[in-house]
Amino acid sequence: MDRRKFLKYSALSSVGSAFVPNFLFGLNEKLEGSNLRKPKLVVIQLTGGNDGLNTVIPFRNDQYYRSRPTVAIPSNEIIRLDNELGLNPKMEKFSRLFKEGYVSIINSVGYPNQSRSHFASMDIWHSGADVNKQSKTGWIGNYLDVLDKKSHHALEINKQLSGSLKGESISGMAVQNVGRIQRILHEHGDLLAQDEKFPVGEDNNSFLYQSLIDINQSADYIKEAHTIKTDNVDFPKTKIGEKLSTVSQLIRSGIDTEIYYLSLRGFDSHVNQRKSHDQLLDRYSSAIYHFVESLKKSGHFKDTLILTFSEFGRRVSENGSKGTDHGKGNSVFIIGEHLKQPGIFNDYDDLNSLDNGDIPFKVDFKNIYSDIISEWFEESTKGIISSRYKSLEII
Amino acid sequence: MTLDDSDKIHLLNRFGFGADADSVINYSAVRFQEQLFPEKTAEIKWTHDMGALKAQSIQNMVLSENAPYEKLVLFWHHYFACIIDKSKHAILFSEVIRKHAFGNFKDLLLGVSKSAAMLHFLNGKKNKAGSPNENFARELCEIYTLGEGNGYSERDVKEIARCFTGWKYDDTGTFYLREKQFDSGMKTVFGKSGRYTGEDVVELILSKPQCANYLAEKIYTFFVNNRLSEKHVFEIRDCLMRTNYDLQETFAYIISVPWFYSDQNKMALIKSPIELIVGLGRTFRLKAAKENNWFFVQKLLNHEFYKPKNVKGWPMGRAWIDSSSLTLRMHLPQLIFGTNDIDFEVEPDLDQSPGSNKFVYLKDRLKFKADWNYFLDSSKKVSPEKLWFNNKASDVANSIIKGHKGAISKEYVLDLLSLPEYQMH
Repeated sequence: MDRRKFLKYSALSSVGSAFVPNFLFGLNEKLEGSNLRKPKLVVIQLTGGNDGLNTVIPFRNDQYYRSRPTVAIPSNEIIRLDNELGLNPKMEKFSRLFKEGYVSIINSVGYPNQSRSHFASMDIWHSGADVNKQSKTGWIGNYLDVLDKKSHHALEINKQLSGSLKGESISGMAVQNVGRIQRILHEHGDLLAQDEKFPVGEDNNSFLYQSLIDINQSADYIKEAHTIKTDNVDFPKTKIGEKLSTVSQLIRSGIDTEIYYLSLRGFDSHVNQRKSHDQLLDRYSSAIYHFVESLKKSGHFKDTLILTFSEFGRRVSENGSKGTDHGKGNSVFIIGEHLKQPGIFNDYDDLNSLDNGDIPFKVDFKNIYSDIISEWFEESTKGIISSRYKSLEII
Repeated sequence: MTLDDSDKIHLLNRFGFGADADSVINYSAVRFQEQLFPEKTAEIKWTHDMGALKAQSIQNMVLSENAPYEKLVLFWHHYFACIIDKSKHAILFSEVIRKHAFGNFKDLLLGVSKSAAMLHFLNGKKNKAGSPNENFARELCEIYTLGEGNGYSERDVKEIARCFTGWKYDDTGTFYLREKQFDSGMKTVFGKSGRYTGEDVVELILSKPQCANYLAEKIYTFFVNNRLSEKHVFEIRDCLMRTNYDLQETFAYIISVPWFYSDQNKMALIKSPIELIVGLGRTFRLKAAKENNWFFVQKLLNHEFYKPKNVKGWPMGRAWIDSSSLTLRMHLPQLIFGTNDIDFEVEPDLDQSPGSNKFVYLKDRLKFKADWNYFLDSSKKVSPEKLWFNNKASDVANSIIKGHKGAISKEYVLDLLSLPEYQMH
């Protein structure tokens, strides 16, 4: 095959400024010095169903120890948060954030009629809709759609876009493969280098061309923003560490992205759970600690809220393979500098009154989404979250 | 009505997976109707491995002599979105759709409602007298017949659920009624009372104009245009009501009216990934290096048979497009023809392989062999530009087409396939 022409960037500008994404203008305004509040949200998805009970541990509870003869963590190893609950011993760095008052732990989070399928339950968390009102779009995608945002306002540090960021007419952008996107666009450089005007209109073909220009420019910009900044702390050399380092660089570059989304995989701990699960929590804890340090240093932490969730918790009793199977309610972490209720938001209910062997759900996850939209972003939840909720008064 | 080439291409795009040269040159209305409503369809020897079954489901569409009919089948798979894990159930579900794809909507709806797949997916099998499960009743109204909040109340949902109590399936996946669990009491549905059964309720629902209207909108969005024309949707609705939901008459009506062929409807829709893949498969007579490649390509593009996102189904139109998916779709021909050196991957499916942490890398799982001689031969009869873009190419695309000199080369074909226009039909 002939060597293809590389993109002629100058040619792209011939399509007119109407297509230049807003953030390119924004950058010229010296964003970093401005006083406007620019809230950022970072969502961390623990994929596979994190075992909440070995993350936030009820170390005085006999039922916990009886149910988990091999999987339970001995009480003397646990990092105590209060008289009832403590953290997995691998979460020492995370516990420092907790002690600083940056963390709110919400236990027993879920939804009615919990699904035990990864696919179905993740879809429910992604859509932010009631179980009976499932949706083709995700709550972050809805946020982009309803508020007329651009693709780059929600970036996923992943290779493919997850359901959360899928909107009806606008979706977020997966940027871990931004290099791959650029390579593909270069392969089709002839197309983007044409002198003809790209079609403009409400029709679907114009939509595809406009998306293409948007993707091309966003990819270039994100690549550039990513390379302008270097790490200001030593991020751990783990996948989650690298992803959070990328987010920190993007935030510090002044890009006007509002939501970052990333996932940490491997939580489906059916077999020999202890070692692998502890290691994952270690990586999570260390990466998030350095991320907060990095943002504190640059002054961005006050504008950043971090949400950590998983599609379901795991059963209270261990299974026959020194692991745990799919359960229901789970713990959610909210991290930020000025939380209204740092600390432990709610205890586990009595582990003796379980829902079919599972921690029952007490807090609807959509209540947390709803608070983030209305209190953190100060926007109406209409069209974004399917029901209305009373504030939990955390954020 | 008389169709010109552009009309024929449009017809074969919408009721089919794209036009090929012979179908345009030798077009006959009679032959087309035979393909859309075949008297007999080939019996399929289904495979029982779930991944292989998904591969087979798409191969049926690639290899079929009745592409128009296969398109109807695809439509109903979209319409009755159902997540199915068991191959036995998936096969029965497909058979119901294939049997009634252009029959009567009532038979199709009842067949799907009684399928093991649906009774499992929407918890119908747990719906018992005294402890009703409303899941199926609600979705029946909201998604399969009337549309959300459209002509039914919360009370109706509760009462409808009672009518479907006792619906079960046996080990072979065959439907039966467990009399003991059936609630034989009086029910009030849409203001009328009686000792209704599930079958009765389907009659009651179908008699509501909202149902015909909802189905008409879905048909219009899938086959005509995602921008609804109220007038044309009404025509389809009236046809459904006039014919008592006869699907053959309704589809025959749609392809007979001039507005179906209007300029604004041509090349107006964004292909779904399966439409894109099947189109490529038929145009180039693709053969997979390994059969399961037909499955991996579905996974890669997030359009997997028997695995819609949820009960609402797969995305449509623009919702298929984001930065990753658009670049991937434009690059798909390179991947398939093996001229690509970028690797792609899909995440592990934890429901299928619990605890797995391994991405599946696709480089060698997306390779297909194209029959270039066949393609070059037909491109001499009707140009690919005409077949693929139907006179609707943008100035940008046209400048690439005009810039091409000489015979059709593989590289030029790949350029054409990478145009945004190829994502449309």
